[in-house]
Amino acid sequence: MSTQKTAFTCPSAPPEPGSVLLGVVAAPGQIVYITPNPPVSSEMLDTFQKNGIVAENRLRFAGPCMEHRCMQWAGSRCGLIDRVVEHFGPGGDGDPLPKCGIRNTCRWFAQQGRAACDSCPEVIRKPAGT
Amino acid sequence: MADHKFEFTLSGVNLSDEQKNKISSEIASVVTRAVVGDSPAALRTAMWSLVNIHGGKMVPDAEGRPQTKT
Repeated sequence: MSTQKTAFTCPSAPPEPGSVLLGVVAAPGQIVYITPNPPVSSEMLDTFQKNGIVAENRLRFAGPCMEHRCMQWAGSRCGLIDRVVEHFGPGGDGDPLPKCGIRNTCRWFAQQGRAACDSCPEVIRKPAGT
Repeated sequence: MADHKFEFTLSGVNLSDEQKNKISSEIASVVTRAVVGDSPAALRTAMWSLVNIHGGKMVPDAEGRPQTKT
């Protein structure tokens, strides 16, 4: 019998080929999720750059969770979503979850459940001025 | 990774990977411009100063630490 480890997906991955486009940051705290997720290519990133769209500010990408190779990894889990949920709280119970393309394998959802979905839109990889 | 693979078909033509990449990049660009406009301003979140939310930053291989059980 084989034991297959779940390959989790990071919903705040770098914009690079191999990732997918998770959504567009429409406003602070608001993400327009795109499903299914278009794969990221260097041409896509070039197109965004030509159009003056700062990928790490106005877009969100998803990619494989790198676990201990990521600066956000904390022991055995993602420290980023833990801190975000700690800040925002558990969120609402009755609201429907957004139609997200990665929930089945999302690292954040696996750790925090719907609280992760409630806080997810607050994350911008590179806020203005940083 | 993603729940659904992003696929498209054009009847009567076999697309190269380069063409597929170009199409998906144009779709993504159009969707993004429709949402954020032609001159998107960079955004900032108020919580940035409270929580380091710069996600998914990779560390060099040499600094990576394997998961340890306690």
